[in-house]
Amino acid sequence: MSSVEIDKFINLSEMFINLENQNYCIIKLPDIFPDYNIGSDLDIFCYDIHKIAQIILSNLQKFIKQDLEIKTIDNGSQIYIDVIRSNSIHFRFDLYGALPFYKNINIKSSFFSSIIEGSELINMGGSRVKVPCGIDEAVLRYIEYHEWYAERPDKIKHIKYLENKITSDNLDVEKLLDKLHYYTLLPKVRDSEKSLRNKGVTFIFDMRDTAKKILQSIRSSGLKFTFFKIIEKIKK
Amino acid sequence: MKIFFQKRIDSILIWGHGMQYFNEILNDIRAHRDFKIVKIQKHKPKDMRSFVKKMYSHDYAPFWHLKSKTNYLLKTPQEVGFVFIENSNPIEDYLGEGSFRHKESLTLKNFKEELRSKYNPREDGQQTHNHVLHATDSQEQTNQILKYLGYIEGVRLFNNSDAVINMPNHIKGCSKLNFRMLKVDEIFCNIATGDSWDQFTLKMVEIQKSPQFIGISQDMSIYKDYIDRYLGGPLQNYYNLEKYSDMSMNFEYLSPPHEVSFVIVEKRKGKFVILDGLHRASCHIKQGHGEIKVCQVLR
Repeated sequence: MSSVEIDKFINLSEMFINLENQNYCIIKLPDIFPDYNIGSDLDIFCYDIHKIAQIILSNLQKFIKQDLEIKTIDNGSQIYIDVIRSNSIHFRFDLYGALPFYKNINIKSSFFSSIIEGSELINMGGSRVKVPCGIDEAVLRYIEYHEWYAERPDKIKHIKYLENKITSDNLDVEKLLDKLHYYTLLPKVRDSEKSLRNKGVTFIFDMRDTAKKILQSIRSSGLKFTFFKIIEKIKK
Repeated sequence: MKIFFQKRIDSILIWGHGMQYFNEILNDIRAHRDFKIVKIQKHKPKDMRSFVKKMYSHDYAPFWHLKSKTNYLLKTPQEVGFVFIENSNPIEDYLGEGSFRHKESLTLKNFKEELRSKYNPREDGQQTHNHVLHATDSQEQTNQILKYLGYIEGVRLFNNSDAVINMPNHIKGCSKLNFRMLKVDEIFCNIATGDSWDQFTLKMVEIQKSPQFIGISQDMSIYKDYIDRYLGGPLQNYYNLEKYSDMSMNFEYLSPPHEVSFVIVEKRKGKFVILDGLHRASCHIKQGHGEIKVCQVLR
């Protein structure tokens, strides 16, 4: 056994046995799970991020020593748990209590619970873990591609994954598109139009678009969510 | 109609003439299976008349109705004790008639009556109605009492479920935590010195010089004197000598089911100071450990 393998002390199999009764879903489960690469992370969607964090922490605390610390950052709807060894990140657990923010694609917030509710228990390397169902995994990969393709050409790997799933694993394209279109919306491209208008017209169009956005948000996410979203925007 | 609601925060106010039974009442509360003491605070009202009025201002009966019933309180000693409890089984019901009809916890009502029959003053062998204690009917009343005592967040003070580890109510707003190992001699604690619960100063000392450590390693009476003197002032948690003594015998720090019950510290002026968990730290050190895993809050 190499020294690098010895250094990988976190037992993810044991940890997820303790999480068996919780509502969670691992996003983008690495192929090598329950093994992991030093410096990598694991994204987990869950309803109760604090409860999940406590279980992870109770599993990790036995490793704490002079050169090994665990740092947590709690942003309310997201918690990072960093295992730090000799001042560098050994592993990160990234817990989400809601969908992360995407700037290039609008997603209904209910997609988050849909992923958790539809998750599947799979056996991976002798460990039983909950991951998104095939359709949700495909939607997530498409979202990831759309969000980043302009800056990260390597994200084309997600499209290749989809092609492969459709051709080899008979992924139901109709179901995929149904879910994708139900939960997502592409934002309008408006920047090029703006320069052609004078300020007054732009203002009127902006107001009209804002009103449309508000209505759209009320329809998709409800009045309460929209109200808090507006307050959040005003504060910014 | 009885309503089986989830837990709520209640308050038991021990009036001046009941303070001689303060420790006994605390023990009775602790022994109740549905109650958990979450805060103890003594208080010296400047004006008893306005204090009594304030305490009953959120009662369901108007104060004029209670005035004759509460006149005896004006002659009681001007030192009272508040015991805030988590009532895990309130069993709420609507009591009273007409405009005085109100919601009340039957669990607390029965308990309050038990305590009154035990501790109320007696005349000719009969229990008087000069009640030694008052208990809240609803959580809204507890909320108002906490605000009166200066806790502007009211009962939200006890809402600590949204945290990576269970934080006591005096530690709030810590979004960044660092779980790490510290040498015992790097850690200090604040202890109270002074004449009484309302006349004290805090002094930073090594853990081994704290009454908590001296109590379990040398002389428990030193710890008892410390609790008796400062409970309700600088010490606002419930401390039980027997429980602490037992704990020190069979203690294993961070063992199941307490894997995340870390001693909480904060770095102040270059020193790590315990914010919560001095009893646990004392037990751990007494067992001969030179290091301890702690949760450092970063503000």
